[in-house]
Amino acid sequence: MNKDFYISLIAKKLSNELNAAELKDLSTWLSGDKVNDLSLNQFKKTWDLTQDYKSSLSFDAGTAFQSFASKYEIPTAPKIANIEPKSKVGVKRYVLIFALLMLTSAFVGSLIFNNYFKNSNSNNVSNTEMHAQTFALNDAINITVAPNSRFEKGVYTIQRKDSDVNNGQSATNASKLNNSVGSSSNVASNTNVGSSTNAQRNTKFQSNTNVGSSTNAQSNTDAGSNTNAGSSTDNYSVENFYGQGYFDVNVPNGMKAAKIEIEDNRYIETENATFNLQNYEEDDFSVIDVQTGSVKFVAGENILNVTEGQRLIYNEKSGTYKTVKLPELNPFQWHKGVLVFDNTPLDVAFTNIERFFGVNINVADNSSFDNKNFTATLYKASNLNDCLELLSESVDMKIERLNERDIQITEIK
Amino acid sequence: MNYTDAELLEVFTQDGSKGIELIFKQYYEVMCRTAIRITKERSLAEDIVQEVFYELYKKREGLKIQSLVGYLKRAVYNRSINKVKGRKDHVDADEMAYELTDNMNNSQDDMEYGELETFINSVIDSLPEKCRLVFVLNRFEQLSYKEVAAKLDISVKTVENQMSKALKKLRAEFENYKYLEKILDEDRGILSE
Repeated sequence: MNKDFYISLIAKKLSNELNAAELKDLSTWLSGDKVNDLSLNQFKKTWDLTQDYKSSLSFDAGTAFQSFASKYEIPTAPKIANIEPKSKVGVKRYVLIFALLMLTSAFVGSLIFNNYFKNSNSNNVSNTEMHAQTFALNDAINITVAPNSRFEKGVYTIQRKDSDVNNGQSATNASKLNNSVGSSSNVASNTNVGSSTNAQRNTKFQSNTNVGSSTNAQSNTDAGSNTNAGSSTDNYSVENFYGQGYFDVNVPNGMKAAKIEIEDNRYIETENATFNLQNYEEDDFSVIDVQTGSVKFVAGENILNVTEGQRLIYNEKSGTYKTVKLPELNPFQWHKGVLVFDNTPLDVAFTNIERFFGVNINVADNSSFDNKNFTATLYKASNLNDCLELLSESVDMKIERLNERDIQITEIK
Repeated sequence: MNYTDAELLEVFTQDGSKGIELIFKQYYEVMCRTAIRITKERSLAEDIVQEVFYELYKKREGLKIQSLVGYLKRAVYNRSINKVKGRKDHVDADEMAYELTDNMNNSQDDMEYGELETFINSVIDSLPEKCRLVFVLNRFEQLSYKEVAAKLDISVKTVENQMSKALKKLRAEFENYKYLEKILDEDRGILSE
């Protein structure tokens, strides 16, 4: 027998794989020569040394869990005990996460949306509730809108990718239509667009009075086949969006990307993505956070691709932009009714509360905001009062709810 | 504070998010070690472990598990092996010439290690992929030769050969290391005189 054979037996011995015959064989070989016995000892030492392989690598389970919970949108449990009043001097960290289950189901949201449109003569949609609302806009787009956010309903146009030459024309026409929803001339325009090619799949609403009626949505037989549109109760696009919205876009196979107009010459196109759009009037910038898929953001001459895990910050005034990684703090949780503060500066926290609940927070004296942050965990706080109560327990300040929507904060120490 | 699997499962059944937090914090580190021994890559290992915890979280309703740690370990190393098998270089890995890679002292992970540990990691990491997998599964996951063979779709004879090969190479490298250490110690002695 050659030496390799016995090394194999040694390996088996170390792995507890030897059978009786092999053990006998190995024992004979080892006792035959001291060198062999030495050899076994050396292999044994080698075997023992390997036990340290990656053994002292450390993994921070706490931090990893935060990342895990954020990534997979798992509600984190409360740690109310961690919230302590702040002293006047020094910086303390406060932990406060408000997990609020406030959303109605997409089905209920859709019903509300329908009723809203059916009873309204306006193109404007505004979430006046104190919680987010989810709407199914059309076959391809679901949107969750934060309180005090608004947009205008437009014409939803979806086209096949293979509608080549006519596409440009159609797109142009569709764009014109989008800008003139509600006017009587839309009817003619729609007819023209739709009749240019049978390959197109156009779904449109011609006037305000028709909006919300699926029958009308499908009555434009010239618009080619409405098979894709036919399965949807509502067919609207988004235009002039202000506030915050979480979009879930899934365009049927073979169709062109859906277009979401933000304002002026800015819009988003995507075929398949979930993303968050912040476009508050009081801010100089728009923020797009892409959770899955990718989107194309167009602002005048700028065409920017934003992919999964990226945040685009676009400065409307200067026309500049930058793309960064998504922040560690999950920017998508709000649409599920979860509000998170993690070492968040107090002024930012107030803004987040305002936007989450659709309220106004008036701070009498903001000079003592400096170095006051929140980091934290709270589970299932169900409403604004709970939120304010916890806030007052966490920070030395006076909070007064003047009415349903107005909150006065004074004496921050 | 450590909980028993029964306690963890009870919390998990009653409150999925609280339960997964406790389970995660209790087993994350040990699962990461399992995964990283198979994948070699820290970030990949952590991703795999998180995926496994998420799968567990998704299955929380109607979950029937006797041993939580057993379930997690099995899931982690199955998933890790699949990832490694899916690597492009896996097919030819066994044919690659064996040599020490230049990753010694390079990675952030290794910075946390002592010199010998860094060396051990490097040597095992630099084994041909199939050889390393066979060794790791047998050495650390306590899989028998037969189980390793089944897991990697190879014969028991191949497992025997790969184990033998791994052990020989590791021993040779450790001998070299000891020799180098000796030389270095002698050099240090000369310099200090």
